[in-house]
Parts: sequence; C-alpha cells; structure tokens
Amino acid sequence: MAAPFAVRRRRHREAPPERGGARRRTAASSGGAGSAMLEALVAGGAEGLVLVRDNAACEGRSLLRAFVTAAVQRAERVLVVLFDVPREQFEAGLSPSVKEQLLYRDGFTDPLGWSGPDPDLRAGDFGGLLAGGLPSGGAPDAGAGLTQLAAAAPAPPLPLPGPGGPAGGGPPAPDESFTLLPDGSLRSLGVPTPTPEEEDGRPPPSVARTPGSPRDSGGRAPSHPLTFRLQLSAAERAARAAVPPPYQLSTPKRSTLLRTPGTIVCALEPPEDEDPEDPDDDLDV
Amino acid sequence: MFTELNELLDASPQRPETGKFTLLRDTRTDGSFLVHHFLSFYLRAGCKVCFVALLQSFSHYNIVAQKLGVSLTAAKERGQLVFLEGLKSCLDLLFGEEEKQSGQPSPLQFISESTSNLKALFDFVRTSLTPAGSDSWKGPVLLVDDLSVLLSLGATPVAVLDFIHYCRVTVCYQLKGNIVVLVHSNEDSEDEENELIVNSLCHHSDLILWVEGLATGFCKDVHGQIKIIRRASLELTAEQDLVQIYQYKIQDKNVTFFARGLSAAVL
Repeated sequence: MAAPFAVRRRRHREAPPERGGARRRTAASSGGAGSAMLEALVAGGAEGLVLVRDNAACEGRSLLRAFVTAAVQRAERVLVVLFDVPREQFEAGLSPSVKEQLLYRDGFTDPLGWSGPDPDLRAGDFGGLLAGGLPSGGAPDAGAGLTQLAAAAPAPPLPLPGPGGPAGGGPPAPDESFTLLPDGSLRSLGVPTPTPEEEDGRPPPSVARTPGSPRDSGGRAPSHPLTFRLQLSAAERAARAAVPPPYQLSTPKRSTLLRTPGTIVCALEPPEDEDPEDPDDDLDV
Repeated sequence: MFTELNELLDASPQRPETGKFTLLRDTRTDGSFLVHHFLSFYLRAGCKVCFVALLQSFSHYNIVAQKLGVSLTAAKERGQLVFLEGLKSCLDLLFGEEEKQSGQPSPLQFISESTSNLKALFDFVRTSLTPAGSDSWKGPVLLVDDLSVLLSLGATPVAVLDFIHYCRVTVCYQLKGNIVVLVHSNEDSEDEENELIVNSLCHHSDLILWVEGLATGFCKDVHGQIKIIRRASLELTAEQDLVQIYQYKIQDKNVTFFARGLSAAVL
C-alpha cells in the first residue's frame, strides 16, 4: 500500500471572496507527487490514509465533503463514520443525489455507551470497523473526525499503514489553492503565483476587508485600514529606478569640477538692515 | 444581563437562540462577569437553566444576580434553575456521613471514586434538563463555571471532553438547547491539558467571547478587552469567522462596552 500523505489546509493570505459565495482556500501537501496533488486526490488517486488537518480558524469538513462528493460521482461506495457532528450537519449542503448514496455509522450520539445499551458505533469499535467491517466493493472513504476519536476514548492502537511523512524524501510540494463550489464539489486553482511584493519578502498589501474580519498575516487588524498606501506599484518602482542618484555625476558636471580645483567661491550675503538705535544707550559710563 | 452586550451579540431575551455552544474564555483577567450575564439573560428569557457552579457559592451568584435584577432563590423555587453548588458537593462527598451517600450518587463522585469519567455529572445534567410533562420553559440551557476546575479536581482532559461531547449531543442537538462554558486560558501557559481542552472547545463553539486583560497592565477606566468571534466558518455559505474587538469597563451593576481607544475617560 502506498505510504500515506497528508493534506494540510492553510488559509491563503490574500483570499478575495469568490463570486457565488465559494471561498478560496489553500492546502499544503508533502510528498513528491507534484503540484496537482489536490486534483489527483479528487480524481481518486488516493491510496492509503489521507489525513485532513485543520484548525479552529479554518475548518476542514467542507474539504471532506468535497472528497465524498467526488467519490460518489466516481460511483464508489462511501462510508461516513461520524464522531464530531450529527448526520444532518454533515450532509448539509450536499446534493440529494449524493446524500442518498452515502452509508453512515453514527459514532457521534453515544460513543461510550452512556445513553443506552446499544449504541450504533462505539469509539472502541472504530479499529475493528476499519480492519474488517467495511462494505465490500470499491474503495470506501471513511470520513471521520479522527482528532475527536483520539480524544474520546483511549482506544487500542489502530492498524494504520506506516508512519506519515514525505514519500521519497523530497522537499514538500508548494501550497495549492482550491475553492469549494456551492454544490459541494472542489475546484483546484493550482499553485498560487507569488506577487512581486511577496518575492521581495515584504508583506503583501492589506486587502480592504469588511469590518470585523480576522487579522491578516501582517498582524494589523484590517478593521482599521490605512488611508494611504505603503507599497509601491510597478510603475512607481520603475520611475524611481529611472531617477539617477545624486552621487552619480553627469559628464559635464564632473569635468567642470575637475577643471577648477581648490577654488573657493564666496558669495557674500547682503548686509542686514542695521538697527539705528545704539544698543549701549542705557549704559552709564 | 448587560444590555450593551446584548446589542453587540444581537441577542434578545425575547428570542433566545437554540442549539448554540458559547465558549467564554479569559486570559490574564476574570471573565466571570460574562457568566453572570448569561445566567440572568437565560433566566429572563424563560429558559430552564442547569448551572454547574464549581467556583463560587450560591450566595455569591445570588447577590450578583440581584444587582442584575434576577433572583436565583425565586428561580430555584419555581423550578427554573437547577443549581449544582460544587463547593458544597465536594465537601459533602469527601467529609459527609455515609447515610447521605446511600442516596443518589453525587454528580462529582469522580473525585472520590476510581472511575475517571464524568458520567455521573452528565447524568445529573441530563435529568435536570430533560423536560418533564408539566414544564413550560422555553429551552434548556447548561451553564458551567468553570471547566478548568474539573481538571484541578483530578479529571483527565479526555474525561472532560467526553462530558462536553455528551452535553453537546444531549443539550444542543437532541433538546435544542444552549450551552455556555467558561474556561481559563493563557497563550504561553505550561498547562498543556487546559490548552488542549480550550483548543478542542474552540473547534465546536458557535460563538467565542474571549476576554483579555490589557497588555499594558491595570487601568482604572478600561478593565480589559473582549473579542467576539462568531464561527461563521462552520456554516456553509459564510466565508470567515467574524471577529469584533471591544474594550469594557465593569461598574457596580453594569458593564459598558466601547470601541478600542474610545473609553469615556479619554473622550
């Protein structure tokens, strides 16, 4: 079985809102599969364990839904094991044709058997489910909240293949951008090209956002945007490069300076208007 | 309840929300004023409240609630409020006579027994909030003050998260109620178990109220800053979490909120 690889989501720094309400996200992938990692995953090229790891600011369940939608469209059997959310919340937003193809095991309602004698799925049975209880045919995807599973009960070690890590030992592939469409499917936007500001190492210009947006990577709360621009545009940078510095002398000026060495040019200032009053008038000599 | 906070949260006791998990989080300051706010808010809204109060005594909450216009004693007598006084229960559990222990199991029995889970506490919450036939309350609400105390009493983080999970299943999804939980946190804290719980709760919260002390220290006119994070990213159509930051000043019977830098003292 191929070594597992991880898809990690990270919020892209400049995420302009897409039309139609879909938002643009970024995934970082390790492994030497190249820049079309997400497209390969969505097209069914995944083997082994794919781990989607998110954070509180950017949830990963919608990516999971996109994988599920793509798997159903490839006519694969999909088993969804729920630990974190109820079924209604997981299938919200999925099209009805996708919803009716999904098989569910409910580990959310009663994973520890506290509420009744016969829960649908106990947390400790998840390993057995993965090992032998999956429905036959196709390559079922088990969508789950694995971090919730790890926190729910000290289950026995699951028979997962191999430790996670970059396959082939090469450098990690660059982050990829993707957007989730309203019907739940995923559209890969490829590797985002860095803007000239990012290549120089300077932070990108802060995008004007609606008040109340979270902080951008510059650390400044965008709810108080600047009224002036700090970065130069390309035309301004070109104009600045075209201006000669003052220490670079033109040829006529340099020859003039060389021809008249040591000359002191003294320009007298015009005499100031003198005060007619005698300042020593009040002295008693 | 604080009317200015209701305006900021766009909440009203006439139309309380359902199925929401609110996380109250404080760093370098005391966020318990939010607990008093939500307690009086939900009692005024006519909801049945189960208050797991582990930090202070009943009289403390009663005195503050009376300043906010709500009587906890009256609410308890009419059955609207179920109050678990953690301080008294712990003492009864550890030093009480054996006759008392033969009755119903104490909700905090994990302290004295070898069972490491909080199932007894969950059973207490469930029986308190499951509606009886004669109840006419609007919706159940679970209030916990605060969750970090359970760690100090010896519960493991996994046990605390299990308890919260079951409360979420029962109160938010099955009974369509609300949960409000207070935790303490510190970004550079060495208490990894506490930070684990806080991070996990942030994932499940619909609304996070994060109260922080000012980084510059104590100030007479500005007692701290509150960050209101609406987890819009959990919904399908919204894009990012909405974050609003305000500063506040706690007065005797009210808390005033204002934009940063616009305290009444400097205007």
